Amino acid sequence: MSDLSRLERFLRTDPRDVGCDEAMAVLHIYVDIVAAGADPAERYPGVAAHLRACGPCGADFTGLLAAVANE
Amino acid sequence: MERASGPAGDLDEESSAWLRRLVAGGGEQQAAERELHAKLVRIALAEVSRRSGSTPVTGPELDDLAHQAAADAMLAILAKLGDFRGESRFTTWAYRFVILEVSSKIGRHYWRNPPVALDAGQWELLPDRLGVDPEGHAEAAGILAEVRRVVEDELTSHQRRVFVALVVDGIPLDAMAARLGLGRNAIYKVIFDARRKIRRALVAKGYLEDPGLEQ
Repeated sequence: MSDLSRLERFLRTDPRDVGCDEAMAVLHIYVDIVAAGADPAERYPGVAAHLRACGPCGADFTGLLAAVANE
Repeated sequence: MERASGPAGDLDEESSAWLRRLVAGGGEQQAAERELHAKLVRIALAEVSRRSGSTPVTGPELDDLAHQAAADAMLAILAKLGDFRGESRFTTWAYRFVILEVSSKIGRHYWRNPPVALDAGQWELLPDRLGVDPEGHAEAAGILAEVRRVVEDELTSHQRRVFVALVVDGIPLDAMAARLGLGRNAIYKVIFDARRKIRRALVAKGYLEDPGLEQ
């Protein structure tokens, strides 16, 4: 990919992206699926798309997963 | 909506015990509340530490923020116990409250000592923000000019203000949401729409080859 790869990633929008509110509403379920070693994107493709694109929600996902993992 | 459909009542043993103890009354309930609060404090402190490199909030203020987040999360959890449907472990459901409180509080505390003022408009930083090197790509100047044209000509004043704050000036999304009194989703939607408009414009000008995943 050219040196425009960062711009390409930033501008790419996924129509499945459910947005922050819906992603955060199921974050605990999503995290438990990940913690169990399964793929949450199969059940929640729109949440997975959102977490890839939204930095703050992605940070919350990482934080909650870390909290669960460090129990 | 991608909602879970798991019924309540099918709880794991640990989650059932938490629910039972937190409404037991008396000493048992108080002990459960103390235990849960201690967990929330530990998680909040770990979370602010994990995020310490990406926020201007530091030192004792960050520790205070963690304790406030744990206290507020505790109140919310106790108020919403009836909303827990058993779709996840109880602790995962409860920890989500404290993680979201930490996010929200870090966003609000940003404005106590912001590294950049609202509406600064540091357009000279745009090449670095977007990873478009004017010396490394022949069309960089045209791309950057087109991005700015779309922002100035095709976005509403509200959309433009949000885009400049987040993308040009690098203000965190949660900080901007707190400043404008809006939810995170409202700010995200503005940026989402701006990204689509800019992409369409760059495709139309021949700078990008395809419309990506856009609808």
